[in-house]
Amino acid sequence: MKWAVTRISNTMEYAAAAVLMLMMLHIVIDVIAKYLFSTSIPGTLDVVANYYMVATVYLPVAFVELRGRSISVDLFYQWFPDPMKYLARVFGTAVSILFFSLLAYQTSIDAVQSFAKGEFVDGAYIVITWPARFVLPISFGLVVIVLLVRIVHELRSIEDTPLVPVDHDIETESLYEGVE
Amino acid sequence: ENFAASTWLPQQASVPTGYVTFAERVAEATNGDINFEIFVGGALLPPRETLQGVGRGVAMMGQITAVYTPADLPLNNVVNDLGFLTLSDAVGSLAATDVRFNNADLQSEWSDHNIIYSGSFSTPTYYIQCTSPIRTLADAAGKNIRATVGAQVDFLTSIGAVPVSVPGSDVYSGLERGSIDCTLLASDALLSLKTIEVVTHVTELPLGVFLGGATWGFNKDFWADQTPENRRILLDQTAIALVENIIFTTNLLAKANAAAVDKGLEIIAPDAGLQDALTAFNATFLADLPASEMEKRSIADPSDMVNEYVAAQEKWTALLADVDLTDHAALLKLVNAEIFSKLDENTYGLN
Amino acid sequence: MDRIEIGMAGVAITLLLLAVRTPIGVTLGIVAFVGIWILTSLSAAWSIVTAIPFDFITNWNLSAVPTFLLMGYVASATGLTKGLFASIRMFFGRVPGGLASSTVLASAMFASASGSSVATAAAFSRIAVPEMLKSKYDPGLATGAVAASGTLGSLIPPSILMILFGIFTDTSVGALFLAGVIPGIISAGIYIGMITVRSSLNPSLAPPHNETYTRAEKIQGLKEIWPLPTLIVFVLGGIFVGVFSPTEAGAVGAFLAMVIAGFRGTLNWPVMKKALVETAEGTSTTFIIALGAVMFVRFLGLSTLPEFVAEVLLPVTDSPVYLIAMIAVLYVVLGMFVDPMSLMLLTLPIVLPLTTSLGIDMVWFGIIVIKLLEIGLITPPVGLCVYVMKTSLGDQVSLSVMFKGVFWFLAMDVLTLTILVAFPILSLWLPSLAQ
Ligand code: NA
Ligand code: NA
Repeated sequence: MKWAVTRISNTMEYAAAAVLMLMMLHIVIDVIAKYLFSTSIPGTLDVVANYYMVATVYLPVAFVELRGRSISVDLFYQWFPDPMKYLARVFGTAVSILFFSLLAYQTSIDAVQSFAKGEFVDGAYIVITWPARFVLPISFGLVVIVLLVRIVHELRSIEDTPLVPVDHDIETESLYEGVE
Repeated sequence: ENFAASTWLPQQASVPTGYVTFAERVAEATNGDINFEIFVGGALLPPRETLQGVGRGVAMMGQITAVYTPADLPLNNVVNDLGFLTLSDAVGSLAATDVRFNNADLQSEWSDHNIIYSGSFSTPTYYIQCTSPIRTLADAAGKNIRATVGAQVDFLTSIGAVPVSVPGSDVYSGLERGSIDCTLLASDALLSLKTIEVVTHVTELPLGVFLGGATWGFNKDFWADQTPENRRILLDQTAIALVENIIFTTNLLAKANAAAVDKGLEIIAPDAGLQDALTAFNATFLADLPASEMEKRSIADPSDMVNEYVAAQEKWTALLADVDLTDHAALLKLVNAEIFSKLDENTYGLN
Repeated sequence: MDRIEIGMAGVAITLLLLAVRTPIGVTLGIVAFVGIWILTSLSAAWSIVTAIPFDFITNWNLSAVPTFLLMGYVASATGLTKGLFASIRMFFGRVPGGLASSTVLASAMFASASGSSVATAAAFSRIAVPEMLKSKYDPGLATGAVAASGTLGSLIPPSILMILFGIFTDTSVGALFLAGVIPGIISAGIYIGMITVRSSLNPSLAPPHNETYTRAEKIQGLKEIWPLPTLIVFVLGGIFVGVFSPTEAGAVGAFLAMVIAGFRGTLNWPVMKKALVETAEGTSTTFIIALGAVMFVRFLGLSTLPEFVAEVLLPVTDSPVYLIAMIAVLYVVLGMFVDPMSLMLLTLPIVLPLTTSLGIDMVWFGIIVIKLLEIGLITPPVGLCVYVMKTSLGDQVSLSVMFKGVFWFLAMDVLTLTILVAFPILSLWLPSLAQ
C-alpha cells in the first residue's frame, strides 16, 4: 500500500513538473509570436489558468502530504511534551483527512457534472475546461488515501518518524549542497 | 423576512447601486415581507457560482451573468453573442429583456436551473481605446489589441490586427508600458477602470455590448412562495431598477465623455474603409450565426430566437429614438407598456 | 450567537488549531466551511468547496508565482547566482550585512518590473536566501530581508494593488505610481540601515568576510558576475519596453535562466528536474494555504466581522493623524488573516467616507494604505510572502525563525509609515511635478 501510494504520488509530482515546463514554453512561444510575428497562440491565457495552473497546484499535494511537508506553525509544538506531540500529530492529520475528503467528494461531483454539460470557457476563444476538472478529485482522492496511510503510521508510533524514508525522497537533501 | 441577494460587482458599480435601492423599495412596498440583504463584490457568490447559488437558494436573488456559465445557458449565450451587433446599452438592455421574457426556449433554460428570469442589463458599446490613432484599415494592421469575445477576435483578425488575451489586472500597465497598443472597452471604463490615464485615442467603431444574463434573477421556490401582490411588486420594482440603470449609465457615459474631452483624448471617427469592413463582417456574422452556434454549443437551430432578437433590437431602436435617456417617467412608461405590464403575476414562472 | 460572534469564534478556533500544529491551509478551509454552514446554510458551505478550488487559480493574480519561483530555482540550481554573490562577498565582505543589503536593493529593482509582492518574494527566496545561508548569515535576517523586500513589489510601480486602489477610490493610478517611488526607496533604505546597524552591533548575524583576495582573483571574480544581472536586466528591460507583461515575465525569466545556464554549461537534466519538481511542490504548498485563505476570507466577509472591527476602531474625529493611526491598527489586525486585495475591498467602503470627510489627500492616503496592506503579507498567521519562501527552503529554516526575522523589518515599516505620515511631501512631490 505504502509502496503503491509512494509511486503514484511521485508520478503525479513528476507530471506536475512536466506541466510546469510546458507552461513556461507555451508562454514564451506566445510572447515570441506576438513580438516577432504579430500573431499569438489562441487561448493561451485560458489554457494557462485552466490547465497548467490547476495541474501544477493540485497534482503535487499527495506528494507533499506523504512527506509531511505541508506548512504548519511549530512555535508551540516544539515545547509540547511527547504525548501531546503525538496527539497533535494525529489530530492534525485527522483534520486534514476531513478537509481533503470534503474537497474530494464535492469536486468529483463537480467534475462529473462538468463533463456531462461539456463545460468550456466562452471568451476570446472557446477553451474546453471539463477535463481539467478531473485533476481535482483525482488529486484530492489520492491525498485522502495518503493521509489515511499516514494516520495509521502515526497512531502506531509515539515517536515522530517519517512515513517514507528520507533516502527514497526526491533529493531535498541536496538543496544546500554548498553548505558545509 | 430576510433574504440574501448577491451581486459580484463592487459596490460603486451601477448594478449593486441599483440592488440597494431596489431592496429598500421592495422592503417598503411589501411592509417588510421581503427584506433583501445585499452581498456585493462576490462576497456570497462570485460570478461563476451565482447561477447555481441562486438556483439552490444560497441567495434568493442574484446577478446571474450568462457568459460565466456557457455550458449551462447555451441559448442565453447566443443572445450574448448577438450583443456584438447591438449599438447601445439602452437598446441592448431592453431588447435582451424583451426576448428573454418572451421566448419560451430562453425561459425554460432559466427554469431548468430553478431560476425566475426578471430582466437584463447591458453594458455600453465597446470601442477601441488606444495609445496611438486607428482611423484606417492600415492603422489597425499589426496592432496588439486586447479582446475578450469571439466575435471581437474574429473581426480584429479580419482587419489584420492582432487580438491578444491579457488578464484584466495587466491592461493598465500593458497600455502604459506598450505591451498592448489598444484594448476594447466601453467608454465608462475610461473612468471606472482608469484607462483615461494611459489611453490617448478612442476609435468609435462599435464593437458590441455585453448583454449580461438575469441581472435580476430569483430563486424559483422563493418566487412561488410569494403572494401575487408581492410578485407584482417585485416585477414593478425590477422595471424601475432597469430604467434607473439605463439612466445611471447614460449619465456615466456623459461624464466619461466630458472627462475625455477635458483630458484632450482624441475621439476618432473610423474612415469609410474601416466602417465598411465592420458592416461587411456584421452581415456575414449574422448570416453564419445560427449554424456556428449550433456547432459551438451543440444546440438546435436558434434561428427563430435570433430573428426575434434582431426584431426586438429594431423595435427598441425605433421606440427609443425620440426618448431622452435620462427621462425616468418616459422610460418607465415605455418599459412597462412594452414588457412588464404584459407579465401576469398570477402565472409568470409558476407552471 | 450573532454573526459577529460567530466570526470571532471562527478566528479563535483558527488560532487554537494553528497552535496545535494543524496545517495552515487545512485549518483555514475547515473553519471557513463550518463557519459558513453555521452563518448561512450547508448548501452555501458546499458552494465554496465547489467553486473556490478551481476558480481562485484562474482569477487570482497569483499565477505569476510558479514561473517566478521557477526562475529563482533555475538561477540558483545552475549557479547563476554564485558569481554575483561571491563578488559581493569579495568586494563588500566587510560591509556589515552586505549580502542582505544587496538583496534588498536587488528586490527593489525587481519590484520596479513586477506588479506582485508574492511573485517578487518567490523569485528572491531561491536566488538570495541560500547564498546568505552559505555565508553563515542568521536565518531570520536572511529570510526576513527577502520576505520584507518582497512587499516592495506593490509599493514600487507597477502595482496591481495600486491599480485596484485607484479604481476603487477614483484616484489617478498614474499619480499613485509616481507617489510610490520615493516611499519605496525610503522603505528599502531603512531596511538597509537596519541591516547595517544590527550587523555591525552583532557581527554573528552576518559574519564579516575578512579574507583578502589577489588582483587576479578579483578579476576572475568579476568575470563570473554577469549571469544574474544579465537575467534581471533582460526581464526588467523586456517589461519596460513592452515586449511582455509582468505576468509573462516570470516564464520568460525562467526560460532565459535556462538559456544562460546552457551557455555556461551548467544546465543538465538532473538540475532541471530538481528545479521543476521543487517549484511544483513549492507552488502546490503555497496555493493550498492560499486556497484556505480565500475560503476563510469568504467566511469573514459573511460574518461582517471586518466591518464590525472597522466600525469599532475607527473614531469620528477631526484629526487626520489620529484617524490614520487607527486605520493602521485596523489594517495590521485584519491583515493578520486577510490578504491585501480582499482587505481593501472589505474595508474601503467604511474607511473612505471618513477620510473624504476630513479632506485627506487620496494619493498620499493610497500610499499609506498600500504600505499597510503589504504588512499583512509578512505577519502571522496568514503571511503569503513568508510561506512562499518557506516552501522554497524546506525544513532548513523554521517558520518561527522566519517570523522572528521578519519582526525587525516590521518595526522598520512602522518607522517608514511614521515618516510618510509626517511628511506627505515625500509621497506627493513626484506626482506634483507631473501635473
Ligand atoms: Na512593482
Ligand atoms: Na498576515
